[in-house]
Amino acid sequence: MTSMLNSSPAIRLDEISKRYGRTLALDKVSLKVGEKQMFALLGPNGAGKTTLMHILSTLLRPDTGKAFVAGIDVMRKPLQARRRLGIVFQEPSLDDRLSVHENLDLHGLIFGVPRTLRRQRIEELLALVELTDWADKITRTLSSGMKRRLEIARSFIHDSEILLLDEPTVGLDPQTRDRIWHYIRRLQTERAITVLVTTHYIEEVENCDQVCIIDNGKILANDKPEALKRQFGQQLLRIVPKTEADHTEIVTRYAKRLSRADETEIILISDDTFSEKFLAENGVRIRSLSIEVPSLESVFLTLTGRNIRDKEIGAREQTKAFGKIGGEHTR
Amino acid sequence: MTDPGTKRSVLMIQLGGLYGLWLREVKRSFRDRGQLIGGISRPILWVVILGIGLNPYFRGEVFGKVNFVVPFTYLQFIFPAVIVLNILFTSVQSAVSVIWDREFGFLREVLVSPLSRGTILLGKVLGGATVAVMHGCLVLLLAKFADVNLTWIKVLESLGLMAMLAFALTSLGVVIANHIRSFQGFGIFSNAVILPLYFTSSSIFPLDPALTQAQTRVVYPEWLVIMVEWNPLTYAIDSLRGALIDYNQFDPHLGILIMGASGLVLFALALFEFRRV
Amino acid sequence: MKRMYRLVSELGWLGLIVVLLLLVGLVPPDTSLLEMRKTGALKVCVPTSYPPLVTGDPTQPGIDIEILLAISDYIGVELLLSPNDAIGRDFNPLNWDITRGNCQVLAGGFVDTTLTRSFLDIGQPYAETGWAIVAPTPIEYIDGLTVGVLTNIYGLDRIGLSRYLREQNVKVRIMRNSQELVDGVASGELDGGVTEALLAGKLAADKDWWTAFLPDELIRYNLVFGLWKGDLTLKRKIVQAFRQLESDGTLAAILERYVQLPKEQI
Repeated sequence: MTSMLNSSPAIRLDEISKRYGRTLALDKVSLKVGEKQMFALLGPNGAGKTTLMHILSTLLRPDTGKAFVAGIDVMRKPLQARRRLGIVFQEPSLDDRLSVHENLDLHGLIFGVPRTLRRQRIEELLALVELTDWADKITRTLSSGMKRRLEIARSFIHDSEILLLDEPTVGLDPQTRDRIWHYIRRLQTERAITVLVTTHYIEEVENCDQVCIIDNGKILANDKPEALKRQFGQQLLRIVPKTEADHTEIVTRYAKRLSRADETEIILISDDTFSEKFLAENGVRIRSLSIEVPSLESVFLTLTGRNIRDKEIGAREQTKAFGKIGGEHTR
Repeated sequence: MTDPGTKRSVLMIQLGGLYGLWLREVKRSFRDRGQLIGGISRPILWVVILGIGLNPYFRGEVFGKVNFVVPFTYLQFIFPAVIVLNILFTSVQSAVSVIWDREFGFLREVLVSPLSRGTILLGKVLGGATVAVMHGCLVLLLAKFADVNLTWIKVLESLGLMAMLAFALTSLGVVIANHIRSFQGFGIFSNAVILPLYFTSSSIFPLDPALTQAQTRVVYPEWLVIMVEWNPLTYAIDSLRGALIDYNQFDPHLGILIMGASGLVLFALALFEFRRV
Repeated sequence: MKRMYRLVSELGWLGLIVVLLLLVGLVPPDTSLLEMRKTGALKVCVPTSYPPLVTGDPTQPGIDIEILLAISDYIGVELLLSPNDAIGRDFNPLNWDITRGNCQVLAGGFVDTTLTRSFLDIGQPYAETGWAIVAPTPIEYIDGLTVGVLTNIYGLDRIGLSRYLREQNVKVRIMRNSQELVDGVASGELDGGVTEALLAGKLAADKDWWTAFLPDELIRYNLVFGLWKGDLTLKRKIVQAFRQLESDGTLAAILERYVQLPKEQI
């Protein structure tokens, strides 16, 4: 459908920078997302993920740098770029007074999908996200999880090749989150699309093809999850000491490796050799010991020196904050 | 110019999107119970209750003395004004939905679509104007009650004037909504500006054209006469009155000119501001 | 399909609203008809004499009287006439001494003009009239003649008439009543008489004189009955009666008996 060489990436950002007043939201960000990849942009709130999404979806102009979607310069040819993109924003953008079917139909009309094709795709997509029974219900009556599914379905009505998801599971309970990911993955495999998802939930990105960690507007790492874990990940040792004396002993002796400690548990930064040595030397002092393989959580810790959860805030606060800075009128 | 992706010309896409956005406004209005109720309560209150109530005071004879008034009954006089009232309220309300869309996200869906800003705005304004005209037509249902004779030509003329007025007022609403951040601000605006504008537009009481300028100022205080004469809504109501009951206080073409020009100017202004978002 | 159902229900609501408004429109806006039925009589003020509309002759009472009789018959009430000298003679209705109490309808020579509408509401038009000239022998040009002018119908454009006559260099003498006019023309003092067309026709028929409409520049008027503004229920009833008279030919028969409108025009 598009004249693209196999080697050119689905999304490409070249030295994108954006400043809001005194804050530098994005600092010379460059990255490439390959075709048909599931690419995750991981970072805490305020890292610049949403700004980046807005630039890619042509809502915002960067101060410097270029952005390409399916080879199209989003600043020079925004209309063309938009046709290739399916976008699901962090805040819902459905019309609450229209029915599920009407929302999808409206999207089709807006994106110029001819009638028969529209009808066909609406049916398909509703089946895919399992909302067929709700087709004629008013959107307001849907739960937030269902609304999210609807938005995901909607983004494909115009047969987009690249899906941009900005924090798709924020504000949803864990079960619903799983289901959303189930639909995203299904869509990706069935339609061979490229997915760029931003999130601050680490567990969601473990299965992605590529993970990019961003903080304070800068890219800290960009690689497959396994590679990241190997390079930056830390093996952790969880120790439950026998007595208080043992507790104090271990904490003082291995102060340099201390990650965290409370009354019951001590967490030490470890690797394979140290774990064996520790067990041998301190076996009598401990009640239980477990080895944690490197996780992305620890990757983040290594790269930024703090936990990603430190900055987590609820969805409503996010919306408020977003609205406070003027929403999409942010200039 | 065609887009190889969807095999549809750019124009067709814009038109399709325009239709979609227009349809959305119309559908939403059908589901807004509050607005519908307002749309019928207003004509009932103003035409039926107020009209009947004030009718005796407009008789040609009061307490045994013959009284000269305007050449028709009060019901007939106020009838076109109530149509304009309905259009005014509805147009303002559709402007509120602009704020709604912006704060609650639907606007973003439209902004990332292939539709141009002009198409988006036009869809919104045409949709809002259509709903306003529909509400204006609700008042027409009381024509027999108000002793206003409706012929097909009159109805078509009136519809044309109503459409022009609705377009101009909806565009005005969008321009205002662009500058207001909250719903409260809009409420303030609507009470402080819209209603006074309506009441000083010769809608409820006439400036008698039979009197000379000097005589008019004797009947009403000068500042009021000036307000009425400078109020663009006065001429809009006047044209509608001319079409419906054949009574013009001012040059009938003036109303058409003012509505047409202000519609274009306001729409252009709204578009200009919208493009900068 | 649920979609159809929603569409139907929404249109249904709209239909309900439309029906509601139409029903509200049937509410009676005033008590005028009710009041009339209570007294059992339709009170009408007419000029004492204005042939052929009001003649004073019981056998041939006049167009307006006969129409009024037919209307009150239709409605089922009596007709109560109040002859009033001031109507027609005095140009200022304030001096006529009419109230809603002594008449609900005014008849006997009212035309549909802005002037009339300024204090009355108008019923159905039943005849057309205008300005006409009457003379013993046909007149081709009105230039330079001396005419008597009788303007007894409220609402006719006297100013327009006097402007026209002035332009034609006609010498004008104001007549106070039709007798004066007839005498003046008969004696030869006046070359002709200018007055309202129906009256002119009657006079011409009586005296076997010639009559013609004045030129087109002077507009034609519709003869109507006058009602007080705000008596909508009564007006609707009377209009209904009129329509009945029109459709069964009674109106045409009445007009035929009386009206001799000038057929020519100078």
